[in-house]
Amino acid sequence: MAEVITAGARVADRAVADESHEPAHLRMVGLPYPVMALCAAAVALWVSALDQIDVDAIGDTGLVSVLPLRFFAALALLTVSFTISVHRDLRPRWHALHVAILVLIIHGTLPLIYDAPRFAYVYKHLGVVDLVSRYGTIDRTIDAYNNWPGFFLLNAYFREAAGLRDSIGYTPWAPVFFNLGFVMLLLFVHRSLVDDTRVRWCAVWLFVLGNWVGQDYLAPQAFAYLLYLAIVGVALAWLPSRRPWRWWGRARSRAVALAARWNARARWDALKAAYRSPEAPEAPATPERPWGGGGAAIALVLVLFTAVVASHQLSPLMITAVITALIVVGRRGPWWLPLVMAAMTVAWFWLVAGEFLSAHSYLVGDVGQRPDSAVNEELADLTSSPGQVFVALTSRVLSASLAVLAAVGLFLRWRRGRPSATVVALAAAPLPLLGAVTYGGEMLFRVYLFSLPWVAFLAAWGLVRLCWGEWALPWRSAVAPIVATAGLFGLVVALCVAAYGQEKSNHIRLGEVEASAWFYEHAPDASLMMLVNGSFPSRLEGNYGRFEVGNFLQEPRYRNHRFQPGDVARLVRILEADTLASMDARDVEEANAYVVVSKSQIAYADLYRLATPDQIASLEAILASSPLFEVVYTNEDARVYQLVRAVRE
Amino acid sequence: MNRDARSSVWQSQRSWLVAAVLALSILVMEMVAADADLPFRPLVVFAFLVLGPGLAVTGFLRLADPGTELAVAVPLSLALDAVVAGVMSLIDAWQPTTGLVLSAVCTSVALALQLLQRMVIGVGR
Repeated sequence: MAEVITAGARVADRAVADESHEPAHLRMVGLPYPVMALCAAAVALWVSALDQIDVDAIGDTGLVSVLPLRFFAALALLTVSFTISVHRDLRPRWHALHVAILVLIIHGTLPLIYDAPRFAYVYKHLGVVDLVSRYGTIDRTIDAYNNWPGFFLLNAYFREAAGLRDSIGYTPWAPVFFNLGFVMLLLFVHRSLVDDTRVRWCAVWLFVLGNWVGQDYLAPQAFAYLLYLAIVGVALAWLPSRRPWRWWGRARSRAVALAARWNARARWDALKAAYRSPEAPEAPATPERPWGGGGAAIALVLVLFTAVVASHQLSPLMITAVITALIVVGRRGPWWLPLVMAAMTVAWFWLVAGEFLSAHSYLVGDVGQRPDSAVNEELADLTSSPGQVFVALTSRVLSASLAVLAAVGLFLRWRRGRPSATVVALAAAPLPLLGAVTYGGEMLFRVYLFSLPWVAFLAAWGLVRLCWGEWALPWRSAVAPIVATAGLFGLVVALCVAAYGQEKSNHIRLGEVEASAWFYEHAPDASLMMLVNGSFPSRLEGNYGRFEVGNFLQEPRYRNHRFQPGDVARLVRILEADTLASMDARDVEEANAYVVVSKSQIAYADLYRLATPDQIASLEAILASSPLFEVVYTNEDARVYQLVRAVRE
Repeated sequence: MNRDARSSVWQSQRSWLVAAVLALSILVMEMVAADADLPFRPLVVFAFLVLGPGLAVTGFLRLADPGTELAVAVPLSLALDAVVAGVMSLIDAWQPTTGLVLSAVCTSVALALQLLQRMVIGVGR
């Protein structure tokens, strides 16, 4: 019997030896099996939780208000399993399994519980894709999307080639696709920075947890971000290193001499002696150079960058800034590469989009506008929506936690004599754009996203060194992984709050999509679609350029306003004026005006305290009782009222 | 396993991936030629567009491992697809199925050359 047990233990030890890089005496017997079991349990719990989510009961704090405990239990199990996997330094495939499950849970939940793609604005993208599919071309006079059409052309190409009638079927799964792509590319990027697989996988994990800004749906910016990671990965790995510029060396020597003159250097040396214990330099596992060397790398960068320039306004600026930082601080690649990239960007802005930009200055935005005003204006009345205040604070805490961990990582790298100037430069490179471009008040979030790969890298370095580094005290080897698990679980819960925080208004119902499709199929050209607010899948058909869309709550007087029968005359005047303007702009003689009221608009108005459901019900009541309006389309999610009086009278 | 050995192993295993994507390219051409409205057509076209054109290029770059190869091939494929779509729109010849077939033909030729190079000449790392 004892021999059988010994033989069994030997087999188990061998199995573990295949899976772990650690010495045999530290390994648990059969360790991959508990990890597998934990992953399977996490997936099972997650699947069982999906049925319990009531999407119609989502509150002001977003999806977390209806997520069952099982959902969080699944994430807890997955976090424990991931920490074990890192602690035991298992093979990369086990880390990959965890990251794939995390992406599936975080980004695959919403497509499984909603019956239509979330985010009202994704339907505008679907409209441009439909426009290209229908007419085989773009119309640069309509909007910015048509002036940076690369991503929409790609989607239309796929849709037509695949024989799909529309893009609604695959749209909800775009975040899963993009995030898996980000993960794959981050592993490639970070390979040029560190050889330790634990740091690389922890960086990927922290990146997924830190990516709460919602720029990974079916949108040009997600596509451009994927290409950004590829460009910077290729540049880091394969652009040839340069000798430092002579002026740079001279400037550095002068700075050191100046510091010594101020007698600061002695103190600095004492500080370094007290806190630093440099290690032998670590050789990153930089991928081997491709055939063609630096020339091939530059060609790859420029091909990828071409697709970015044709797809998105902001990303080329960000990428050029990052590549410039890499060339100046990281001393990689030819000095002229950023100039070529800038020239390509300017050429597109000038030659292709120039006419449109001269009429629309939204890219630059208002002078003095805050770079995060897109969110702050909606949260101006913080006391009226405590749920949204909680969500906003949680997202800030999540970002700040990563920043603190990154600072710890940076300090530990300095302490161990690891060079970090390049990583810090890459993280800081997008920051100057904060002062130059407001991008509709979203700039802060875009800068955060472009800095996140480097922040996540430094944070992962800190995490791994704190929890699995060379600690002398034995108790830390047991406690640190537990602390890491608790911290990572805290971050994933914060991610759920931050990323799902606006689900009350982001949730678009299938009935609303059908109502919008009905409008574009039946309304005469130049007709007006008047909404309560913008949270509606408008512009989802390719002929959207022939119609006008407005919303009542743009008028401050109608915010938090209880409608009375006396308001009808003023509403009719607004509808007629907007419709007439649309008819004149499109040179059309006859058109109609429609008012569309739907569930997601009501939820949006309630969430941002623009109007209560009762106040919107009062609007519907006066429309329904007025002889000037009739209901022309209705389903359980939306109603369409038509102004029956001829507009041009 | 050191990096040279890993690179060599990947170069020998890569032929299977190339053969699979070559088969995918041929399947895409068949489906388009037959105008087949098959339920799995979107998946096949998606897989081809995400992998095919990029792998056709990265094969000539002789990358050292599967992670690097995929990390370059996938974004490169998407970028090349966008360029193909852009050119079709620019020259006022919006024919996505024709574009797909042309892309599949070019990809097939490149992949076949890579296979030939591996099998007949035996060039690898």
